[in-house]
Order: sequence, then structure tokens, then C-alpha cells
Amino acid sequence: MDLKVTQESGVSVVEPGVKRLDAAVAPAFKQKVVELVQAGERRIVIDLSGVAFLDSSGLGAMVSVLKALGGQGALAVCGARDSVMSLFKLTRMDKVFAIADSRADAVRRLAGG
Amino acid sequence: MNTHGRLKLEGTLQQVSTALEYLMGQLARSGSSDDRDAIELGLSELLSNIVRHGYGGKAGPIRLTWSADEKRITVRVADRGKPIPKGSLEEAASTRFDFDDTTPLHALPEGGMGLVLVQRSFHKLRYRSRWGVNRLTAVRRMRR
Repeated sequence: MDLKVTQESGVSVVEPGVKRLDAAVAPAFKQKVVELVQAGERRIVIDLSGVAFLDSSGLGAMVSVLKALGGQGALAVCGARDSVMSLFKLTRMDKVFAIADSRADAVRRLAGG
Repeated sequence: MNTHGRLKLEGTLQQVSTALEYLMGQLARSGSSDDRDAIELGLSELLSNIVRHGYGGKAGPIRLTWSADEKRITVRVADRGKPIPKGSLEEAASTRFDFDDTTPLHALPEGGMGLVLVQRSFHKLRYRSRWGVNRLTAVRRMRR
């Protein structure tokens, strides 16, 4: 899978590079982002604007990233479309993840702190 | 708009993705976008479970048939893998997601949410496992 990572104000912005973040691609996505954390990235934005479909595998992968960051890092999500947002709300994960209105907002949140 | 169809998968996760994209195209004029999102999510969870747990990651046949009219969308899934453990689907109906920003990290689930999401996606579910074949019928009533 073609993860795209860009640095903005000291924050790593990750774009999954797939339209469907589901069971077929979640393990590879998780592995690549966790590798980023293991390489020292502590502030990560996951930009979901290109993601049309997210299921519990994709969500679980994001939880894994959150756990990999532990208490020593920060994760924010941006670009969540309606159907993606509804999964976050259904699973109450919207209370767990910082969900920003825009990529700029997400970067600002993490860069500031 | 009335529509119906069938699909057969040989059970890889990539095929599940492709099948769902195809099915959602077929259902593009059935129900509201919320209805379609729910069906896509519920089926993704079900089919992924069949591939990963039912067939243990080895390719195995999955048959999907669907029909939709103005009132409901009915999907039937048949497979020959290990069945959903007895009681799990029913139990999932009463499971509540309970997290917030005070939940300790270790208590957040990385998996296991699938059956709860299936229960939330469909109004009626029937599951029967007999003679090596598992058959699930899932119905979603349309909301206008």
C-alpha cells in the first residue's frame, strides 16, 4: 500500500493512499504507521480525506497506532467523511480520537503542544 | 428501485473489498446513504470474519445474494467455514461501546468490534449452521 507521509510543522501527516481502509489493507497500514512511531515520530495526523470506507479493521489499526504512541505522543484525525465519521460515533471512538475539522487544524493542534 | 443479484467469492480479503464495491454500485439507488453505509459496514465485518476466522485465512467459497425493494434490502451469505461461535452474534446485540477520553489505552479494542457493528447495521439477522454450511440472512429496512 502506498502510504504518503509529509512533514508539516514537525508533525507527520499520513495519508493512507487507499479508498477502502478495511480488513484487506489494515494490517499493512498499521505496520507502516507503527514503524513511523518506532522510528521516533511522536506527532501524527491521519488524513482520511481520501478514504471512502472504513471498517473496524481500519479503526482497530488506528487504535494500535494510538497505543504505540503510548502516553508519549499525539494522534489526530482529519478529513473524515460522513460514513467514516458515523463509524467513529457508533463505536464511541470519536470520544477517544482527536478529530479535527481540517488538516491545517489537525497539524496546528499537534504542532502547538 | 428493485434490484437483486448474486456473487460468489473465493474468499480473500481483497475479493471482499471488490465484491462490496460492486454490490454498493448495484444498490446505488436503494435506500438512503445511511442505509447503504450501514449495509456496506455490516457486510464488510461479516465477510472479513468469514475469511479470517471462518476459513482461517485460506481461500474458501462464499456466496452472496441480495434483493432490494422500496421497503428493505435483504442479503444472504453462505459459507462452509467454521461457524460464528454459538451465542456470539446474539450477545453482540446487547454489547455497548463505552469509551471516552478517560478510557485507559490498554482497554481500547484493536479488534472484536465486528459482530456488534453487524448487529447495529441490520434490523433482522438470522444465522444457521447445518451440515457444514453456514447461512446468514440480514435485513435492513429502508428509512426514507
